[in-house]
Amino acid sequence: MEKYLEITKVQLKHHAWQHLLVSILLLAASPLVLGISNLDAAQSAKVLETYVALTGIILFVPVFLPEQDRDLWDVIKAKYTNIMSVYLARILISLLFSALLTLAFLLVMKAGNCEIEPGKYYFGTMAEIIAFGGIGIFAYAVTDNLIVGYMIPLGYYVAGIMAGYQYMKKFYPFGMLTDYDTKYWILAAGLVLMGCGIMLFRRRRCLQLH
Amino acid sequence: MTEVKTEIVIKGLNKSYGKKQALRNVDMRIERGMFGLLGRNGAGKTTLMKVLSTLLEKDSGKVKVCGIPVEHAAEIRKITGYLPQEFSMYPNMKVYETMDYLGVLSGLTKAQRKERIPLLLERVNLSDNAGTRVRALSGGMKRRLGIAQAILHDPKVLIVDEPTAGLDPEERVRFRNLLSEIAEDRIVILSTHIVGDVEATCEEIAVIDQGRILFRGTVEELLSLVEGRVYRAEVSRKELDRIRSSYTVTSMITLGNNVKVRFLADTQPFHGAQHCDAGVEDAYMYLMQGEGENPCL
Amino acid sequence: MFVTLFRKECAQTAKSLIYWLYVACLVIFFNSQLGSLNILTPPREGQAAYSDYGYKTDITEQDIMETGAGSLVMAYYYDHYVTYPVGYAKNVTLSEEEKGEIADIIYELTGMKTDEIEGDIAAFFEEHNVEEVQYKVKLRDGLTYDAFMQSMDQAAEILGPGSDYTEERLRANVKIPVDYEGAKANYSDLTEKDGLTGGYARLFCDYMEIMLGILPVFVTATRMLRDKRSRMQELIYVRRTSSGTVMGSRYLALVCMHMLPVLLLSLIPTVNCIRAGIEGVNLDYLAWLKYDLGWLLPTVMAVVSVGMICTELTETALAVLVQTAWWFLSLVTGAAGMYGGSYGWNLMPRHNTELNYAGFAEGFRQLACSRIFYAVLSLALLALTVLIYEKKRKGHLRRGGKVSGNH
Repeated sequence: MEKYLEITKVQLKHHAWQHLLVSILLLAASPLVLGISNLDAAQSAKVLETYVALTGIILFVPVFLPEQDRDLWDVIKAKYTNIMSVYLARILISLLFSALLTLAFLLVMKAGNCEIEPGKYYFGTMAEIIAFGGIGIFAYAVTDNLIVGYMIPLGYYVAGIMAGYQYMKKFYPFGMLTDYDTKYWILAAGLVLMGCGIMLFRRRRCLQLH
Repeated sequence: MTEVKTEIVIKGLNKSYGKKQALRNVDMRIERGMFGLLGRNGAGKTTLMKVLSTLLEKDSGKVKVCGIPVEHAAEIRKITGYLPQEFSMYPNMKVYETMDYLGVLSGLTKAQRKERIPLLLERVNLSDNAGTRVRALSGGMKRRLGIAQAILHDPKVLIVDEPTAGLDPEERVRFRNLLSEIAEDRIVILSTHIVGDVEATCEEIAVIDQGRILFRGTVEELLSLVEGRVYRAEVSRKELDRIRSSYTVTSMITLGNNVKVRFLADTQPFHGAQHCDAGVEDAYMYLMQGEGENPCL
Repeated sequence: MFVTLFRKECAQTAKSLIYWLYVACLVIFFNSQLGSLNILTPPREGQAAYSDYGYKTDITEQDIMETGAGSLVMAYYYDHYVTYPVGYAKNVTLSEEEKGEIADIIYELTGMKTDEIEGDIAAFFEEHNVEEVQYKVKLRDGLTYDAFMQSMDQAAEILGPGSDYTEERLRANVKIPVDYEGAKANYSDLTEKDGLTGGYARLFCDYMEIMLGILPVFVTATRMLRDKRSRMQELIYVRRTSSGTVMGSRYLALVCMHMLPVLLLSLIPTVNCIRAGIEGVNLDYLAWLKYDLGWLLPTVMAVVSVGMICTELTETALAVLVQTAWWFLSLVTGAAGMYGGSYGWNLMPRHNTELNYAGFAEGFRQLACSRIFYAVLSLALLALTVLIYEKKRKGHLRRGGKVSGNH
């Protein structure tokens, strides 16, 4: 347990705080960009799906960033025997942060008299966050390029807006009210991609070392 | 036009990072040939080399490379080649492409590049790998490519930071020989914390610690510091502590319950201690030990 | 040396995965938006509808007043007020008192009491097709334009920034479909003044710049991070080539490589226009080049330079964040001027129709100013990047404190 606390501390100190800060700023700017009070059910869903969920890209994608530098990676590898557990710990940190931020945002919306079904909206938003994160992590792992890790989930986001449900079917990212099944689909896809991404990255790094 | 002498002159050089002073009042003159800069990690070797290759600006003092003040970065870059301690190249580029790219950045014409690159690859024994991608090179190959790129524009001064780190013993010897060859008609400065590298190749050396030059001269002069004061003995582990407290121990090897030690003493220390020839390592340890007594350590 | 470096930079870009991702995105986007582009044929008299031929361009004050008041009445009736403070739709909820004030304004403009509104709306849409025609309301006799604008100012005050009731927005919101005469006029603008291809080149620009307002930052950031990632920085720093040449060649190569697929794609609508074989058209064969270079190039230049400076300064993916935010804001603020003409200083000026030459001509000065501004801005950012690079070459601004290559 202590080991994971240590990972959390290191992660926060060196990397995660920047991404956390950006996420908080993004959410804090929301009243300026769009209204977050007195929204009806559809408007609330739109805010959560097209705005709050973007934190998934910011918080999840950089999980491999500390290892971008190979020297640092050697140090970490020497320090912790199981790199998988380090990745998992980092992903859990990202998950925790995004869960807390989304919860806080929902509470603010609720207090602002928005029409929300808390459980449904919370789960739906988190599913989307994980989907964005999973796509990003996977793209990053495949190309070994952080920038692509940001680009692909943003592309998915834009595709969601431009193409809509009729083209994207069960993988439509904004299906809170159109088809709630999409949330389970993208959650599953996000988790699978995340898992594949971690495996890939681990293998890539091991190959580079030996 | 008179031929400018191939030499580096450093006077009163200071450099600090915030509160940490990395170089203190360094004075030195370096001439043609292999020059070794010896010191432990963090002694200031890299800082000194970076100042010489314009990667760092000095705080105060005067530095001239072949008559050109180091402030004239563009002029200095024409006549110096540098190989950092930590480096790599675009992994997907081929060896030849990499040389070609860096050659362009060094201002070589197409004809010059076509002529020089194959020659240099030949010289560092990478001719067969001209089409290999950088990512597929071994550590030693990468180092050799590093040297080749550093002398691509035929610089008068070659600066190499810790070139043998991470090389296996055989590669290390080959690498040192390569550097010696290159040093025939220019200045080659190499830094290392490995005494053997210097001993084998450099005529002139400097020992640096905490930003100060502790010694500057030839290998013989360095040896003369401890000449006639090196002893060796085989002692038990218990006795070792006593020897350590009274003498400067320069090396030791454990053999079962006994320890073979080399140490410095002004007179015959005890029965059983044998007098022996001084090595660079002994002299180096002697210098370092002196520094170790310095209270600011 | 510059030219050789430029060529090598182009080759490097062409070999990078992310560049081809960029090209793929452009092609997919082009296909989805303009893949099945139909070239407009001349309007025929007695056609069922002229909705393809744009809107009336000569809007009267009466039109503005009737439509503007209508929009306020509708908002009041549905109690649904939307503003666009930074372009993103924002719902405004009014207090009872404020609602009362709106009702007073409506009464002053139209003479309608609140209980008469429903009937009026219903009557209007019994006569007109709700899909095609905007709700207009009959104004109080003798209402002057100035008095109208004063009332609208009050409404705008109540709703806050970004409402539909400023003069500019009121004018832009009037969309009156053309009749046969209007259709003929709009169409002849397209074929005569725009040489047909010009209109389509503009439409091409309108779509493609949505992609060009963001995608180049990915390629640029990747290129700029590559030196650090490959630990090649110092090998390049110590070479004699000036910082201006290193960064300048990189910049030029990135801009050219980003424009290359755009130039090629823009030929497709041009060929479509030529192949449509519409009679009596004075085809402008080079419109695509003029629009690509005049309209899209400054956007690409700006995005590339933002990518370069952010990445060189911080050695992180900051550029992606900055550009995404800028792109997002440009996109949502631009949406209000979709139909063209009101280009403002947007990074991505919109003109989402092959028609509306009149709007283009009217906004041209503004457009040209903004395009020149972005080109100049881009060069200024490049100059700053060169300066930063030069500083870093001499050991300043490097990240990680200890400059021993261990960071």
